[in-house]
Amino acid sequence: MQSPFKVLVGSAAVVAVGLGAGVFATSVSLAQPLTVKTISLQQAITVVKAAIAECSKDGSVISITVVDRDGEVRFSVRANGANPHNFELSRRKAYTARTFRSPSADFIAKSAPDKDLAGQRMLKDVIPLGGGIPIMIGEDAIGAVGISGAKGGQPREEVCARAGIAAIQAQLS
Amino acid sequence: MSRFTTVSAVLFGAALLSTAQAAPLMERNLNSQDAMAAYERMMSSCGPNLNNVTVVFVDRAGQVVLQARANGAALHNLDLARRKAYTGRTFRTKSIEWRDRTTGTQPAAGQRMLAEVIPLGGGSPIMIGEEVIGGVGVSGAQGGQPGDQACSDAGAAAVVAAAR
Repeated sequence: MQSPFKVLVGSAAVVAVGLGAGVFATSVSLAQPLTVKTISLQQAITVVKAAIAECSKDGSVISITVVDRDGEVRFSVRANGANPHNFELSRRKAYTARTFRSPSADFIAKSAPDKDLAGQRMLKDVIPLGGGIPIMIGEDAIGAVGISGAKGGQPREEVCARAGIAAIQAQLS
Repeated sequence: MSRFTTVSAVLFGAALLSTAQAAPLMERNLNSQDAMAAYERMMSSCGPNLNNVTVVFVDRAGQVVLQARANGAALHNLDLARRKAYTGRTFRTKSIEWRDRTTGTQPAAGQRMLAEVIPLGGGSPIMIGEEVIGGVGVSGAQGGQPGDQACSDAGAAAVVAAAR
Protein backbone atom coordinates (compact mmCIF):
# COMPACT_ATOMS: atom_id res chain seq x y z
CA MET A 1 0.00 0.00 0.00
CA GLN A 2 1.28 3.44 -0.86
CA SER A 3 1.97 5.78 1.97
CA PRO A 4 -0.48 8.66 2.24
CA PHE A 5 2.44 11.01 1.72
CA LYS A 6 3.29 9.55 -1.68
CA VAL A 7 -0.33 9.68 -2.77
CA LEU A 8 -0.52 13.30 -1.70
CA VAL A 9 2.66 14.24 -3.56
CA GLY A 10 1.47 12.41 -6.64
CA SER A 11 -1.88 14.20 -6.58
CA ALA A 12 -0.24 17.54 -6.07
CA ALA A 13 1.98 16.94 -9.09
CA VAL A 14 -1.02 16.08 -11.26
CA VAL A 15 -2.90 19.14 -10.03
CA ALA A 16 0.11 21.35 -10.67
CA VAL A 17 0.55 20.05 -14.20
CA GLY A 18 -3.15 20.44 -14.86
CA LEU A 19 -3.18 23.96 -13.46
CA GLY A 20 -0.13 24.91 -15.49
CA ALA A 21 -1.65 23.54 -18.67
CA GLY A 22 -4.87 25.41 -17.92
CA VAL A 23 -3.14 28.73 -17.33
CA PHE A 24 -0.95 28.49 -20.39
CA ALA A 25 -3.72 27.13 -22.56
CA THR A 26 -5.87 30.23 -21.99
CA SER A 27 -3.42 32.36 -23.94
CA VAL A 28 -5.95 35.15 -24.44
CA SER A 29 -5.99 36.35 -20.84
CA LEU A 30 -2.38 35.56 -20.09
CA ALA A 31 -0.57 38.51 -18.47
CA GLN A 32 -3.57 40.79 -18.94
CA PRO A 33 -4.58 43.05 -16.03
CA LEU A 34 -8.06 42.54 -14.66
CA THR A 35 -10.51 45.08 -16.06
CA VAL A 36 -13.67 45.89 -14.11
CA LYS A 37 -16.35 48.56 -14.22
CA THR A 38 -16.89 51.01 -11.38
CA ILE A 39 -19.13 54.02 -11.00
CA SER A 40 -17.57 57.29 -12.20
CA LEU A 41 -17.62 60.55 -10.26
CA GLN A 42 -19.88 62.16 -12.86
CA GLN A 43 -22.36 59.29 -12.64
CA ALA A 44 -22.27 59.47 -8.83
CA ILE A 45 -23.08 63.19 -8.89
CA THR A 46 -26.00 62.54 -11.24
CA VAL A 47 -27.32 59.85 -8.89
CA VAL A 48 -27.04 62.14 -5.87
CA LYS A 49 -28.82 65.05 -7.55
CA ALA A 50 -31.69 62.89 -8.78
CA ALA A 51 -32.10 61.23 -5.38
CA ILE A 52 -32.10 64.58 -3.59
CA ALA A 53 -34.68 65.89 -6.08
CA GLU A 54 -36.97 62.94 -5.34
CA CYS A 55 -36.58 63.23 -1.57
CA SER A 56 -37.14 66.99 -1.71
CA LYS A 57 -40.70 66.43 -2.89
CA ASP A 58 -41.90 65.95 0.70
CA GLY A 59 -39.39 68.42 2.11
CA SER A 60 -36.90 65.79 3.24
CA VAL A 61 -33.29 66.91 3.61
CA ILE A 62 -31.16 63.79 3.26
CA SER A 63 -27.61 62.68 3.80
CA ILE A 64 -26.46 60.57 0.87
CA THR A 65 -23.40 58.57 -0.13
CA VAL A 66 -22.45 56.83 -3.36
CA VAL A 67 -19.76 54.18 -2.99
CA ASP A 68 -17.89 52.61 -5.88
CA ARG A 69 -17.22 48.98 -6.70
CA ASP A 70 -14.63 48.79 -3.92
CA GLY A 71 -17.08 50.15 -1.36
CA GLU A 72 -15.13 53.40 -1.17
CA VAL A 73 -16.91 56.77 -1.15
CA ARG A 74 -17.12 58.32 -4.61
CA PHE A 75 -19.43 61.24 -3.74
CA SER A 76 -21.39 62.18 -0.64
CA VAL A 77 -23.29 65.08 0.89
CA ARG A 78 -24.26 65.66 4.53
CA ALA A 79 -27.72 67.14 5.03
CA ASN A 80 -28.17 70.55 6.58
CA GLY A 81 -29.07 69.94 10.21
CA ALA A 82 -28.30 66.22 10.02
CA ASN A 83 -28.09 64.26 13.25
CA PRO A 84 -24.54 63.20 14.06
CA HIS A 85 -25.09 59.62 12.87
CA ASN A 86 -26.87 60.30 9.57
CA PHE A 87 -23.94 60.90 7.27
CA GLU A 88 -22.01 57.82 8.33
CA LEU A 89 -25.20 55.79 8.24
CA SER A 90 -25.77 56.69 4.60
CA ARG A 91 -22.30 55.36 3.82
CA ARG A 92 -22.86 52.11 5.69
CA LYS A 93 -26.17 51.51 3.92
CA ALA A 94 -24.44 52.00 0.59
CA TYR A 95 -21.59 49.72 1.62
CA THR A 96 -24.03 47.03 2.73
CA ALA A 97 -25.92 47.16 -0.55
CA ARG A 98 -22.69 47.02 -2.51
CA THR A 99 -21.04 44.18 -0.67
CA PHE A 100 -24.13 41.91 -0.63
CA ARG A 101 -25.26 43.13 -4.07
CA SER A 102 -28.81 43.58 -2.87
CA PRO A 103 -30.86 46.29 -1.15
CA SER A 104 -29.69 46.83 2.42
CA ALA A 105 -33.29 46.17 3.51
CA ASP A 106 -32.83 42.53 2.38
CA PHE A 107 -30.02 42.20 4.89
CA ILE A 108 -32.44 42.85 7.77
CA ALA A 109 -34.33 39.58 7.37
CA LYS A 110 -31.40 37.55 6.02
CA SER A 111 -29.27 38.30 9.05
CA ALA A 112 -32.03 38.28 11.68
CA PRO A 113 -30.93 36.94 15.08
CA ASP A 114 -32.57 33.51 14.50
CA LYS A 115 -30.96 32.98 11.08
CA ASP A 116 -27.82 31.07 10.18
CA LEU A 117 -26.43 34.27 8.64
CA ALA A 118 -26.88 36.32 11.81
CA GLY A 119 -23.10 36.36 12.17
CA GLN A 120 -22.81 38.59 9.11
CA ARG A 121 -23.97 41.46 11.29
CA MET A 122 -20.58 41.29 13.00
CA LEU A 123 -18.84 42.38 9.80
CA LYS A 124 -17.40 45.86 9.79
CA ASP A 125 -19.38 48.68 8.18
CA VAL A 126 -22.52 46.71 7.32
CA ILE A 127 -25.90 47.80 8.70
CA PRO A 128 -29.25 45.98 8.72
CA LEU A 129 -31.38 48.97 7.74
CA GLY A 130 -33.16 49.90 4.52
CA GLY A 131 -32.09 52.81 2.35
CA GLY A 132 -29.14 51.32 0.46
CA ILE A 133 -29.52 50.14 -3.16
CA PRO A 134 -26.81 48.52 -5.29
CA ILE A 135 -25.98 49.93 -8.72
CA MET A 136 -25.96 46.89 -10.98
CA ILE A 137 -24.92 46.05 -14.50
CA GLY A 138 -26.51 42.64 -14.86
CA GLU A 139 -25.08 40.58 -11.99
CA ASP A 140 -22.18 42.96 -11.50
CA ALA A 141 -22.32 45.58 -8.70
CA ILE A 142 -20.38 48.67 -9.80
CA GLY A 143 -21.37 50.70 -6.75
CA ALA A 144 -24.28 51.57 -4.47
CA VAL A 145 -26.18 54.51 -3.03
CA GLY A 146 -27.24 54.93 0.59
CA ILE A 147 -29.59 57.50 2.12
CA SER A 148 -30.39 58.56 5.67
CA GLY A 149 -32.76 61.14 7.08
CA ALA A 150 -35.83 60.99 4.80
CA LYS A 151 -39.14 61.86 6.42
CA GLY A 152 -40.75 58.61 5.28
CA GLY A 153 -37.98 56.52 6.81
CA GLN A 154 -36.39 53.49 5.18
CA PRO A 155 -39.08 52.80 2.52
CA ARG A 156 -38.95 56.38 1.34
CA GLU A 157 -35.13 56.35 1.35
CA GLU A 158 -35.24 53.33 -0.97
CA VAL A 159 -37.57 55.15 -3.36
CA CYS A 160 -35.19 58.13 -3.48
CA ALA A 161 -32.17 55.86 -3.98
CA ARG A 162 -33.86 54.06 -6.86
CA ALA A 163 -34.82 57.41 -8.41
CA GLY A 164 -31.17 58.39 -8.24
CA ILE A 165 -30.02 55.23 -9.99
CA ALA A 166 -32.75 55.61 -12.62
CA ALA A 167 -31.06 58.81 -13.73
CA ILE A 168 -28.05 56.83 -14.98
CA GLN A 169 -29.89 53.63 -15.93
CA ALA A 170 -29.26 54.20 -19.64
CA GLN A 171 -25.50 54.19 -18.94
CA LEU A 172 -25.56 50.90 -17.03
CA SER A 173 -24.52 48.44 -19.67
CA MET B 1 -9.35 80.44 50.02
CA SER B 2 -12.89 79.15 50.33
CA ARG B 3 -14.12 82.69 50.94
CA PHE B 4 -12.35 83.84 47.80
CA THR B 5 -13.96 81.00 45.88
CA THR B 6 -17.38 81.94 47.18
CA VAL B 7 -16.93 85.58 46.24
CA SER B 8 -15.72 84.57 42.80
CA ALA B 9 -18.64 82.28 42.30
CA VAL B 10 -21.09 84.99 43.27
CA LEU B 11 -19.45 87.51 40.95
CA PHE B 12 -19.33 84.97 38.14
CA GLY B 13 -22.96 84.09 38.67
CA ALA B 14 -23.96 87.73 38.67
CA ALA B 15 -22.10 88.28 35.41
CA LEU B 16 -23.88 85.35 33.81
CA LEU B 17 -27.28 86.49 35.00
CA SER B 18 -26.78 89.98 33.68
CA THR B 19 -26.47 88.75 30.10
CA ALA B 20 -29.01 86.70 28.16
CA GLN B 21 -28.80 83.50 30.17
CA ALA B 22 -30.46 80.32 28.88
CA ALA B 23 -30.18 81.44 25.24
CA PRO B 24 -28.38 78.95 22.96
CA LEU B 25 -25.34 80.09 21.06
CA MET B 26 -26.18 80.89 17.46
CA GLU B 27 -23.54 80.00 14.87
CA ARG B 28 -23.51 80.34 11.13
CA ASN B 29 -22.42 77.22 9.30
CA LEU B 30 -21.76 75.88 5.83
CA ASN B 31 -24.97 75.05 3.97
CA SER B 32 -24.68 71.76 2.05
CA GLN B 33 -26.60 73.21 -0.89
CA ASP B 34 -24.08 76.05 -1.11
CA ALA B 35 -21.29 73.47 -0.98
CA MET B 36 -22.91 71.56 -3.84
CA ALA B 37 -23.31 74.72 -5.91
CA ALA B 38 -19.75 75.81 -5.16
CA TYR B 39 -18.38 72.40 -6.07
CA GLU B 40 -19.96 72.64 -9.49
CA ARG B 41 -18.59 76.14 -10.01
CA MET B 42 -14.97 75.17 -9.27
CA MET B 43 -14.38 73.59 -12.64
CA SER B 44 -12.58 76.44 -14.41
CA SER B 45 -10.03 76.97 -11.61
CA CYS B 46 -9.21 73.31 -11.10
CA GLY B 47 -8.03 72.09 -14.50
CA PRO B 48 -9.84 70.85 -17.55
CA ASN B 49 -11.86 68.18 -15.78
CA LEU B 50 -13.20 68.34 -12.23
CA ASN B 51 -13.74 64.57 -12.39
CA ASN B 52 -9.97 64.27 -12.01
CA VAL B 53 -9.83 66.36 -8.82
CA THR B 54 -10.64 65.19 -5.30
CA VAL B 55 -12.53 67.77 -3.23
CA VAL B 56 -13.80 67.90 0.37
CA PHE B 57 -15.88 70.60 2.06
CA VAL B 58 -15.94 70.67 5.88
CA ASP B 59 -18.29 72.69 8.04
CA ARG B 60 -17.60 75.01 10.94
CA ALA B 61 -17.02 72.01 13.22
CA GLY B 62 -14.57 70.42 10.78
CA GLN B 63 -17.05 67.71 9.79
CA VAL B 64 -17.30 66.59 6.17
CA VAL B 65 -20.26 68.14 4.35
CA LEU B 66 -19.41 67.10 0.80
CA GLN B 67 -16.76 64.82 -0.62
CA ALA B 68 -15.96 63.97 -4.23
CA ARG B 69 -13.28 61.41 -5.02
CA ALA B 70 -11.71 61.76 -8.45
CA ASN B 71 -11.90 59.06 -11.07
CA GLY B 72 -8.60 57.26 -10.72
CA ALA B 73 -7.72 59.00 -7.45
CA ALA B 74 -4.70 57.78 -5.52
CA LEU B 75 -5.47 55.99 -2.26
CA HIS B 76 -4.49 58.95 -0.12
CA ASN B 77 -6.28 61.72 -2.03
CA LEU B 78 -9.63 61.76 -0.25
CA ASP B 79 -8.23 61.86 3.27
CA LEU B 80 -5.63 64.39 2.16
CA ALA B 81 -8.29 66.71 0.74
CA ARG B 82 -10.22 66.41 4.00
CA ARG B 83 -7.17 67.28 6.09
CA LYS B 84 -6.41 70.28 3.90
CA ALA B 85 -9.98 71.50 4.38
CA TYR B 86 -9.69 70.92 8.13
CA THR B 87 -6.40 72.83 8.26
CA GLY B 88 -7.88 75.77 6.36
CA ARG B 89 -10.88 75.78 8.69
CA THR B 90 -9.13 75.47 12.03
CA PHE B 91 -6.37 78.01 11.37
CA ARG B 92 -8.65 80.25 9.31
CA THR B 93 -5.92 80.62 6.75
CA LYS B 94 -4.84 79.08 3.47
CA SER B 95 -3.07 75.81 4.21
CA ILE B 96 -0.18 76.82 1.94
CA GLU B 97 0.40 79.87 4.16
CA TRP B 98 0.12 77.76 7.32
CA ARG B 99 2.67 75.37 5.79
CA ASP B 100 5.15 78.24 5.39
CA ARG B 101 4.72 79.62 8.89
CA THR B 102 5.18 76.26 10.64
CA THR B 103 8.46 75.21 9.06
CA GLY B 104 11.67 74.17 10.82
CA THR B 105 12.55 76.26 13.87
CA GLN B 106 9.71 78.78 13.67
CA PRO B 107 7.78 79.27 16.93
CA ALA B 108 4.62 77.76 15.42
CA ALA B 109 6.36 74.63 14.10
CA GLY B 110 4.84 72.59 16.92
CA GLN B 111 1.38 73.10 15.45
CA ARG B 112 2.28 70.42 12.93
CA MET B 113 1.99 67.86 15.71
CA LEU B 114 -1.77 68.40 16.01
CA ALA B 115 -4.02 65.65 14.70
CA GLU B 116 -5.65 66.03 11.26
CA VAL B 117 -3.75 69.13 10.12
CA ILE B 118 -1.47 68.94 7.08
CA PRO B 119 1.21 71.42 5.96
CA LEU B 120 0.43 71.29 2.23
CA GLY B 121 -1.23 73.74 -0.14
CA GLY B 122 -4.80 73.10 -1.25
CA GLY B 123 -6.88 74.04 1.80
CA SER B 124 -8.91 77.24 2.16
CA PRO B 125 -11.10 78.65 4.90
CA ILE B 126 -14.65 79.67 4.01
CA MET B 127 -15.02 83.13 5.50
CA ILE B 128 -18.09 85.33 5.84
CA GLY B 129 -16.33 88.54 6.76
CA GLU B 130 -14.21 87.67 9.80
CA GLU B 131 -16.24 84.58 10.62
CA VAL B 132 -15.15 81.13 9.46
CA ILE B 133 -17.99 78.78 8.55
CA GLY B 134 -16.02 75.91 7.01
CA GLY B 135 -13.17 74.90 4.75
CA VAL B 136 -12.43 73.47 1.31
CA GLY B 137 -9.65 71.01 0.52
CA VAL B 138 -8.37 69.89 -2.88
CA SER B 139 -6.01 67.13 -3.94
CA GLY B 140 -4.99 66.18 -7.46
CA ALA B 141 -5.53 69.44 -9.36
CA GLN B 142 -3.06 70.43 -12.05
CA GLY B 143 0.01 72.38 -10.97
CA GLY B 144 0.84 70.72 -7.65
CA GLN B 145 0.23 72.56 -4.40
CA PRO B 146 -0.20 76.03 -5.98
CA GLY B 147 -2.73 74.48 -8.36
CA ASP B 148 -4.56 72.77 -5.51
CA GLN B 149 -4.55 76.04 -3.56
CA ALA B 150 -5.98 78.04 -6.48
CA CYS B 151 -8.69 75.43 -6.85
CA SER B 152 -9.64 75.40 -3.16
CA ASP B 153 -9.58 79.22 -3.06
CA ALA B 154 -12.04 79.21 -5.93
CA GLY B 155 -14.24 76.77 -4.03
CA ALA B 156 -14.28 78.95 -0.93
CA ALA B 157 -15.07 82.05 -3.00
CA ALA B 158 -17.87 80.17 -4.74
CA VAL B 159 -19.47 79.30 -1.39
CA VAL B 160 -19.41 82.94 -0.34
CA ALA B 161 -20.94 83.91 -3.68
CA ALA B 162 -23.60 81.19 -3.36
CA ALA B 163 -24.41 82.21 0.21
CA ARG B 164 -25.43 85.72 -0.86
